[in-house]
Amino acid sequence: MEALEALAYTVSLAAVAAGSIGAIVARRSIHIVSWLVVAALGVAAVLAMLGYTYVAVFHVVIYIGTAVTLFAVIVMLLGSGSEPRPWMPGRLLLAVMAAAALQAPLLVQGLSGGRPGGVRVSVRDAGEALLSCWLCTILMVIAIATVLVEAVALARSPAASSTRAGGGSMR
Amino acid sequence: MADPVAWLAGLLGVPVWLARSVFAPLVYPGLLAFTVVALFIIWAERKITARVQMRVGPYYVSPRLGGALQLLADGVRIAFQEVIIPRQVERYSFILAPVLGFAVTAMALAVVPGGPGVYGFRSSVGLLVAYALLGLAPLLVVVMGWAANNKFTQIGAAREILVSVAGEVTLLASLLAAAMMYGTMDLVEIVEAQAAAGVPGIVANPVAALLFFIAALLIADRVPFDLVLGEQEIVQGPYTEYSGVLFALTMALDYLKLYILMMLFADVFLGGWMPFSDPLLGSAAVFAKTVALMLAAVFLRSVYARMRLDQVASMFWSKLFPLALIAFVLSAAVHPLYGGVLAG
Repeated sequence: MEALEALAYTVSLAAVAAGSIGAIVARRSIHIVSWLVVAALGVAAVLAMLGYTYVAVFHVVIYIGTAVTLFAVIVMLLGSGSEPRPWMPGRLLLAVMAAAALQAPLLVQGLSGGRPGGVRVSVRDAGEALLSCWLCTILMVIAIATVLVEAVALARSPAASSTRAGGGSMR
Repeated sequence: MADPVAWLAGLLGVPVWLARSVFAPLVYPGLLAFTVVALFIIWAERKITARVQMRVGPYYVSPRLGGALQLLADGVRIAFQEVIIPRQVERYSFILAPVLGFAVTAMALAVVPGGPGVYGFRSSVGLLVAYALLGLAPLLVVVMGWAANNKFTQIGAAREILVSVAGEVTLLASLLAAAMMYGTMDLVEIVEAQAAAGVPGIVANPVAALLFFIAALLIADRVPFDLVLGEQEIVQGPYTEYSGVLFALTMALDYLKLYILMMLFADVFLGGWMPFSDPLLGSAAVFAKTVALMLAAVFLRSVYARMRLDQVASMFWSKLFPLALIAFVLSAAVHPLYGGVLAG
């Protein structure tokens, strides 16, 4: 079980390193998107093993499911994947060094035999903590209200109604 | 026999968690069950569509069974077909994307319970895990469409990404409304709450159930929302250039999404194994509900036409999403029905 856990940590951290290096080195936009997904999955796996399960899941849902997907929308709609960027060896060197520097503390921690202690934070705990602090509740309500107002404004904007009436030009 | 998986683990001398995490994704509700369901559903889809259009449908392979073995024959043919890789494609992305897409989506079957005690692993956020894994597939479909380097595939990929953003927002909103109603995101607890209250979720919150079903149709590319595959317009969408086993994987991907989403629907809104608590009977109940829902979903193909992309986008963003807010209000209203059960 111990060995399995160590293996899982190693694989996830390797995925983070490979993903972050790949995202910088890759020469086509869609490859960059794919490497970002690899890095994000690695981060989510580490978070999940540390006990922040719901943070890990939200990381996958929001970061990959939304942010990276929207990046892919831009890549597909602008068609910017066809021209590869020039190959630069210096970029690879920088990327490897940055990844090594970011992961060095974890490596030192792992080699010294100390393993990160698991914490268990459930959604319910987080929700109770949020709702017991009145400032957080007010901020949350304001945030949701702002999003709703913006969504209504966008849906009623002239651009949206012209798309609806004119049949749209979205491919 | 209280728990067949635990019994199997004892027989093989392996820990129960290992037996669970292998049994669920591979046998039931995993890939083996999915293969059987997919063969049956595709046959039923062709047969039902044929009946509606006053044709016969699959017939010559096994006439006595109504052509039920046609799909098996097709499968054998596809398995031995040459995989053609066109010269203009990006080789590795082209081959890896459908394989990874299918594998990632199939991983969701490890969390969705197929019966009492029949799950790969149980998590306090199981609902979100299944949703997150389903949300990874559109990106790989985009990679497929991009790698094939073809007009049809690129248009299909652009459609996939626009459509999946709209569908997933609605799906997540309906799932969160359901989670709010039950007060938990653990799928097993959700089913138990429904069983204890004696009221399936679809009765308590029909709005969320309806939204989930419509969004599931969009995500699994079913008519009336099969824009991504639009055969008359863009050949086969992002899957145009695939042949042989890779083509089978891309087709299976959409049916796999439908299977997972309908099993989620059965668990979250139809009470899962509700009338039973025995593992075997309960699993049979979940399986029967899933197959019935899938049949309803494929039946829509013969009665609806395809919607236009802008119609779909405007319907999901400006009509269904506000409806999701109503579903939240409804959830808050019916929460006491289930809230008391879990606390007690």
